[in-house]
Order: sequence, then C-alpha cells, then structure tokens
Amino acid sequence: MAATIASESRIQETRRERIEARLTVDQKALVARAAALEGVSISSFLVQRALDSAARTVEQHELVRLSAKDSQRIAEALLGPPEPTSALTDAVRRYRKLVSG
Amino acid sequence: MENADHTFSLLAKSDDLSGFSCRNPVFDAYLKERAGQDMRRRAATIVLLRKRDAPGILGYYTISSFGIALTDLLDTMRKRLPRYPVVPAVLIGRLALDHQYEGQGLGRLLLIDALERAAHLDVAVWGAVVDAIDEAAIRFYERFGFIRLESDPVRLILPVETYLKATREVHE
Repeated sequence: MAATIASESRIQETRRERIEARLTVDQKALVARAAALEGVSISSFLVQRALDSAARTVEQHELVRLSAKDSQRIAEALLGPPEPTSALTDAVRRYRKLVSG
Repeated sequence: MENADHTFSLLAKSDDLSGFSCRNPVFDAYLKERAGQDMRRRAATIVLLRKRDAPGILGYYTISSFGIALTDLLDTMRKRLPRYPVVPAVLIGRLALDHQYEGQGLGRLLLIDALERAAHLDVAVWGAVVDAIDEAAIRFYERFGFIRLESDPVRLILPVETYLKATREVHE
C-alpha cells in the first residue's frame, strides 16, 4: 500500500503543466535578451523568476525578516515592553466607551 | 453624548458588503471579492465594524497568524524569547474605514479591537505587525507606539505586552 502511494506521488511530482501568458513584442524582446545574457532559454528564465517571486510573496504573507539591527531593537522591545503611549491608552479608553459586546 | 453602540463581528456569509467604499480601491475589492474566500480557507480573519442604526459596514480589518524572523542575537537574548528565530505574531494586514465615517476616530477602534484579539488568543503571540499603506498610515501607527523597521519600511511592530499595559492603566 505504502509503495503504491509513493509511486503515485512520484507521478504527481513529475507531471508538468503549461501556463500561457501574453506579452507585447517589446516585453518579449526584453525577456529574450535577459535570458540570453544568462545563457538560459526564455522558458526556464520565466519559470525561475516566477518561482523566486512567488516564494518571496508567500513568505511576505507569513513573516517579516528583520536585519540584525532591527532584530536587536525588536527583541529588546519584546523582552522589556515599552510603556504605552498616551494615544494608545486614550484609544483603549475610547474603545471601552464606544464598543459593546 | 456618545454611546456604546459600535459592535465588531467576524465576516459571515450573510453580510452585505456591496455598499462599502474606502479611499483605497484595492481594499474595497479585497472585501467584496476575496475576504470571504480567505475566511473559509482560514488564511485570514476579517472583522467588521458596525454601528447601531447605521446601515452597512463602517470599517474592517484583517488579522492572520504571522512571524517575526530575528537574526544574529546573542544567546542570552535568544534564550529568553519564546521561540527563535521566528517569534509568533499576528499581522494586521488591512485596516480600512468607509470614507463616510472618516474623521471620527474610528480607525483607532479598529486597531484596538485587533490588538484586543491578538492579546487574548489561546495560542499566545508576542507581537502585532501592521502593514502601512502610506506615510499617513505610518504616522498613525507610530502614535500608538508601533516601532518602525529599517528592514521593511512599510511594516511596524508593537509588543502585545505594551498593549496589555495600556489596558491595565485604563482599569486602574
């Protein structure tokens, strides 16, 4: 049973899908030039760039990556939380007054 | 006299969103076309603000699980964090007010409701992260103590504990 599942998932992995996209003549020429500069086909250039960009977009929806300097500042703030600003305290007060349930 | 006649509720199938209009067409389209799907897929929670006797929706925000990825911290600091390198957080990704209801301080109510939810999740989060769409939004969040980042200029962070301190001050 396990072997069957494994072989089926291998078939799934290798199945390729097509995507079509429309570009202007100029856009396509630019892409072709960039692909030629990197010595790859237009298709593999497009696929690689789309995958890189998609991974970055997904990551941005899941986390924020901090620089070393920001990491230090934010870790300090998380471990020793700053006192609230008066605007924050006032907003909490206003919320309690105006919101029910 | 202002009354406690504002309510927050999670987006439901029966909600009529057609009349909502804020200054950002992307946020309008999101609410009308994608919010329901995000809610069903549990990709994000969409919370609506209403007022008794007022038709339609005054505003909405989205909240979803998120992480703050830290780097290069000393061991002494790492050990005190709940998790390293990714500290659990929420993202308040979109926060929008219908243009008819601007200038009444309702943006603050949306923000506080989001922080209130973040602070009382059963699975604890340490930070609230916001996406600010422009300079005015950045200034708005800074007033409430959100910290700007050099790594990502449109995202700001507030420790959830700072919000809890504010709620305790109001109680006293």
